[in-house]
Amino acid sequence: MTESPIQCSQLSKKFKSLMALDHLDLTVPEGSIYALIGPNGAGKTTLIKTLVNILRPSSGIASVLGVDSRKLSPQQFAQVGYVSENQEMPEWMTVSYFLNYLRPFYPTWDDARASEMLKQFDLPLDRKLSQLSRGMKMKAALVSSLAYRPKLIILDEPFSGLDPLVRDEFIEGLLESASGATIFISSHDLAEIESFSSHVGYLDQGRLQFSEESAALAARFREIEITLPTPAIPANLPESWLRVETSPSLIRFVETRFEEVQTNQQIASIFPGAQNVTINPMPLREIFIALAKTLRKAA
Amino acid sequence: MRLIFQVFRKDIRRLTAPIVALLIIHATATVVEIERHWPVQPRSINRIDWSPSVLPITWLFLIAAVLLQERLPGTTQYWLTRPIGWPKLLAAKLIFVALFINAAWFLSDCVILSSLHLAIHPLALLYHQVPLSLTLLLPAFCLASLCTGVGQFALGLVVAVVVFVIDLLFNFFRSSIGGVAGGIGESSAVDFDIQYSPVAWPLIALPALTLFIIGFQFARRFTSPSRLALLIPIFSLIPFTLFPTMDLFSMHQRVRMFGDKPDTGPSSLKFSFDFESSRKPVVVERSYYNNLQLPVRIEGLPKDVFVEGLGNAYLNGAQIRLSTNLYNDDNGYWLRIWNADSKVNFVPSMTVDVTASLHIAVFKIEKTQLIPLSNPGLFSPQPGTFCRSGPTTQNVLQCWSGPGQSSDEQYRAFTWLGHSSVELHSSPRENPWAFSPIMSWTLYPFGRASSEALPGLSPEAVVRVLTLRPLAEFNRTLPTQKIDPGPYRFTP
Repeated sequence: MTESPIQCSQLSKKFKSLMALDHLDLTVPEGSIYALIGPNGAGKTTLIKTLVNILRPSSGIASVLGVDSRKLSPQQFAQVGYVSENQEMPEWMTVSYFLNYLRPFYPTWDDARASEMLKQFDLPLDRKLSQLSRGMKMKAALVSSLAYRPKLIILDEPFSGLDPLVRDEFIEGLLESASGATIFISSHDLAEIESFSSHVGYLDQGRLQFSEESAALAARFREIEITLPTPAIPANLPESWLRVETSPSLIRFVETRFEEVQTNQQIASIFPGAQNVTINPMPLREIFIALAKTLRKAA
Repeated sequence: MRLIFQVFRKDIRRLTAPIVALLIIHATATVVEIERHWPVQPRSINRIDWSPSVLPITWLFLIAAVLLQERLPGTTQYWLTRPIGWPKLLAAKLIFVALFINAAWFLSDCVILSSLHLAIHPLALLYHQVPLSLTLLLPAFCLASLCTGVGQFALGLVVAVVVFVIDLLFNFFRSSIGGVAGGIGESSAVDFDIQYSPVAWPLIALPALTLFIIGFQFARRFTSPSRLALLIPIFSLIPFTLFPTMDLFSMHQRVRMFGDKPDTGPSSLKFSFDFESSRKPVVVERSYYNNLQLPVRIEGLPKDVFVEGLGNAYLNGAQIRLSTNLYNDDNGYWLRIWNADSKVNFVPSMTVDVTASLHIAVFKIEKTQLIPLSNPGLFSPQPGTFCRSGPTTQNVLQCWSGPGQSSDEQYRAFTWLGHSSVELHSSPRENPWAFSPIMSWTLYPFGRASSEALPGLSPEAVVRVLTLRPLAEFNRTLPTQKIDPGPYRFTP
């Protein structure tokens, strides 16, 4: 059995009184495209920076490519591609010089691949990074992080501030060039992530609320609407029902453990006279909002 | 190695303009230094005299610039996740500093020495760079590794300067209270060694600590604790400065006790002296640090008097200022010549032409009084001189004179009964820098003083031509040609 590229065990990171990561357990399967979602301040960037040893954990262990993140050596970094939205780049360098500068650092640097990506992204080689737009800069960063065929690609909010066209190009380039690699991506752009992620993790207040395959997640979340003949809402509803909204003859909620037979039986037992039951699949964005609002309310 | 070179090359490309500026300033400073020692052209010196003082500032900001290319504090730098280990990164930065600061300075020294037709002794020149590297470059390197930008670096420098100015001011006012014992390395009269001065300990600890912080910061990037660790020794200098050591305090008291003793005695003794073998090469038989020790024969002196000489010497016909003094011991009289403000090192097999000029003082010592016997116009203790026999086991006699030969200098004489010598110090009022222990250490590298360069380096220096001339003649015309050697008879 191969080791997970990313594995966290009871990982905590504390900034003075703020617990940014709270005993987090996480396993990212090899070859997966793992999307880490969560509201602002949930701890996504902290987690990523801890994974790449920019920050050191307060307790617990984060292992990357089988090595404790605190002990990541150049050998491991040569197999990790990291792109972040707020990364400071050597702005004085031209695109060409930037790539040439980095080439000797990576034994597996693939010039052909770099050229392909440059062509695909239409990056001007002789232009300084400081003169590039934000989207172009992110593309240059991506090229510099994929040209050596890393085993693990870590992206921190790579789409923020990019227009839809650039975003599409970015994702296209990423998926084409990163085949076989494990991708760990944090993003607010849930619509984009949903289209290509294989696994999803939801982080809130430093705690991982869930972590599962995207298909399973999509399958277990449903928005359900029930029309009732008489206004009779029982006091105790199942815990798996979130964002319950009621009107005299209507109840709407998000079922988080949807299974067709079982859920229908449950509805029939709670609302025996239910006239009309509508069950709709939910996009990732809706799931995110439902979870975020519920957790915020609970907090 | 390949990656070190890659980072190094990148830094050169990025910092090409500052490097070129530094080299231009270096070249200018070199020319200034050469001109300062060679046939004098006052106008040209004045025109470009700014370069030596600009040089250290350029060094500091070049260090900051190269380190900030891969800024250590922060979490957003692209290079943090690139596969280069901290030892390689540190090595690349150190090589950069070594090449463009240390090596450039070394080269400049070599050019200066060869322009003045002086022997180049690489080891001695490298030795000069040790204090520079420890007291300036290393702390600057450390400071830059803790900063997020040039502005923060400049702020750090300001803090350091403020601390030093406080030290300077305190030493200035302390100097005017009563006598000053002299700074570290300034006085040989009381064996004022580093071990007697707690002030020196932070200065020793600072390079050690900065080395530790640099390693710690590169390896772990724990910026906040490292900043705190750096601030502690800097600020600890202030209390060390504000409370003088017991040695200094007791010396103040000692000097003040005898402050008003009048100067008495006849000034009519005649004597003459000559250098042995002045027409042929003189092999120096003894050496003290970087000094030439030449045997001198003095005739006509009674046995119970002491002779002191103090003055300047000029080397190879150039205006390289050397200091000389005359002293006696059991083996007779010796003329000691040492370089006070140039980088000249007397090295084995070095051939030098020296022209020396001395003020001669002849005096007797009766009880605690120093009685001048030489004629007016020569160096002699002025009215207001106070002396006493020292209570130390070295049997030291300390003398403090009034204004010296020039208006802006004072002579302070320290005379051993066994090994008499006279040392010249600037007035504390005129030159407080020299009397600040911290400053004398810190400014040591800039002074390019090499009189204590390498102990025991010059046991067999050869003086080919040695001419003794009156100081007045020297002041009138600068020697630009070799002076015809000949026995010189001094008849005041």
